[in-house]
Amino acid sequence: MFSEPEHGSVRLSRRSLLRRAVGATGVLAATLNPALAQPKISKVAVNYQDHPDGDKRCDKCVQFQPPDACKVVDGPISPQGSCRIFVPGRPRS
Amino acid sequence: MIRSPLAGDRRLLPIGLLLTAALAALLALGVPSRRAFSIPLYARQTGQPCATCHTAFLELNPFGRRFKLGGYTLNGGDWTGPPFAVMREAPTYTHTEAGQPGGSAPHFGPNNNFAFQQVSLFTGGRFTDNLGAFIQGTYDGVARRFAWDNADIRFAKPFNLDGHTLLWGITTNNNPTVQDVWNTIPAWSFPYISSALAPMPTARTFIDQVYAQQVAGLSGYGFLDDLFYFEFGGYRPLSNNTQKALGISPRGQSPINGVAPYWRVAVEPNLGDHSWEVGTFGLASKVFPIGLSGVGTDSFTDIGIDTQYQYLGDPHTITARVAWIHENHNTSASQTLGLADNSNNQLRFLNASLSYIYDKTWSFTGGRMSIGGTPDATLYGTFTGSPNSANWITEIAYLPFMRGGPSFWPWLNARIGLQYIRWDKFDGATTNFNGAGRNARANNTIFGYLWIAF
Repeated sequence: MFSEPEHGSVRLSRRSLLRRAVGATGVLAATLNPALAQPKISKVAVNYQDHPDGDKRCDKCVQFQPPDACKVVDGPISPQGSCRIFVPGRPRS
Repeated sequence: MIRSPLAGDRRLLPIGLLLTAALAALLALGVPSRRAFSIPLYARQTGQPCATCHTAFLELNPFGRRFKLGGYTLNGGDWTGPPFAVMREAPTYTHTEAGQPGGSAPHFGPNNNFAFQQVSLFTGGRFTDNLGAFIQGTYDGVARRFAWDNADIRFAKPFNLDGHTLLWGITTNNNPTVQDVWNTIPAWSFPYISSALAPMPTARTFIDQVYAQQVAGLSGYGFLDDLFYFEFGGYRPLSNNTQKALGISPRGQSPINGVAPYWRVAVEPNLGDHSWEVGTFGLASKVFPIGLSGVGTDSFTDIGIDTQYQYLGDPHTITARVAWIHENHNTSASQTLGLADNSNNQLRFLNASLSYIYDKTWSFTGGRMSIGGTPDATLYGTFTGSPNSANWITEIAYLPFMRGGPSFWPWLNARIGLQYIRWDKFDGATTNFNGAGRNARANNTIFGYLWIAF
């Protein structure tokens, strides 16, 4: 006789799945520290340069944060710099 | 699932055609373009256009890969509305060189079918600084049912370690390889959209979407110095009742016994406009053939190697992708049950493609897919007994909104494409592969689609 393994303890039931998800979320929540930085994108991934690319300059990008930061790219950013994800717009201070 | 989508409903066609006509009129009128935004949920969150994360939707570039590895948490936009997005694949048109006797699917004719292939609702994005998600639910227009689709919830956090940067994270997801960030692995490989009404080969490797939405997985990963990626985790099957509650039919499944380990290792150096990845991935498990226990289990080990090169110039972008998977399939339990002729089988799968993208707007792709292995007529249920199939595929796609959607909804994204698949071999033969005189080329397919997200 053959039987489906469904009735064994092998497969995840809704209850155990929910319990594990809640547990995992709790563990994650316990490790959260809002003071720590969220992941940003590395300069190498956007081909950041310390000089403009034609009209493209970081201080003309919507993501630039004066005096020397970017909302999405990690590390100090030169206002005269440029990168692959330039989006024209007035920077917000 | 985004790829291998499902299908259509003729009652919805008039609506789909109206929307298509409206979009075409909008394009023809040259509605002024503003900044474009990509998968609209994340575009609104980051304030970035589609082209920031994608070479051509849905293929990721280095930024998009890091956005995902960072847990979908990156901010930058000023959107304060609810975190939802909608995607639809409709209308689509499918033509095969010869019609499919009996209809290409229930409610569809043998050939030249228009379909409302699928519509999906997305939610997720950033929950906290370090916790985010990609969650998709899909209405399948061919099966005419709603089910949960790809889901990936992850926690990610960077830290410095003795001069090195490690981005580490945990992902829980429901489809082996859906958590991956390169477009070589099964969940996100080319073609990114396929007809649900075209013939597909019988054989596929276990890691290739066989367990999509049927399992729950947990894995930990690290991305060291923006270069080395490593991940290890495992998958367990969901109970039948859980799957049914989520809209998945468990009928005919061969569930995993215990935990199936999954691994992924890759290195991605980036230099200027060049990004190159090379890696390996795999999944292994014991399984109950079609859910039957009592005679032991089958087992499989899938090992893949892959490489992807991207040239990310402006206006020229090139992507080359190659993945090769070897599967060793121990079918001793299936043999005992009379479900296989052999006690051991192998499969080899190749997927290679090359894309040229002009100005983030026009995409041209050519590719080759082949699968082959040990003949086993009972296991595959094919006339020839062979799992061998191979095709060439070409596609042209127009993506008008990668840089900017229309002013009334700048987060609109669209991909309008035409795809052609030429089969050299299908289910083991070039001619008469089904015993009824049908040749492989009869399955040659022309597939046109409109794919939009907003």
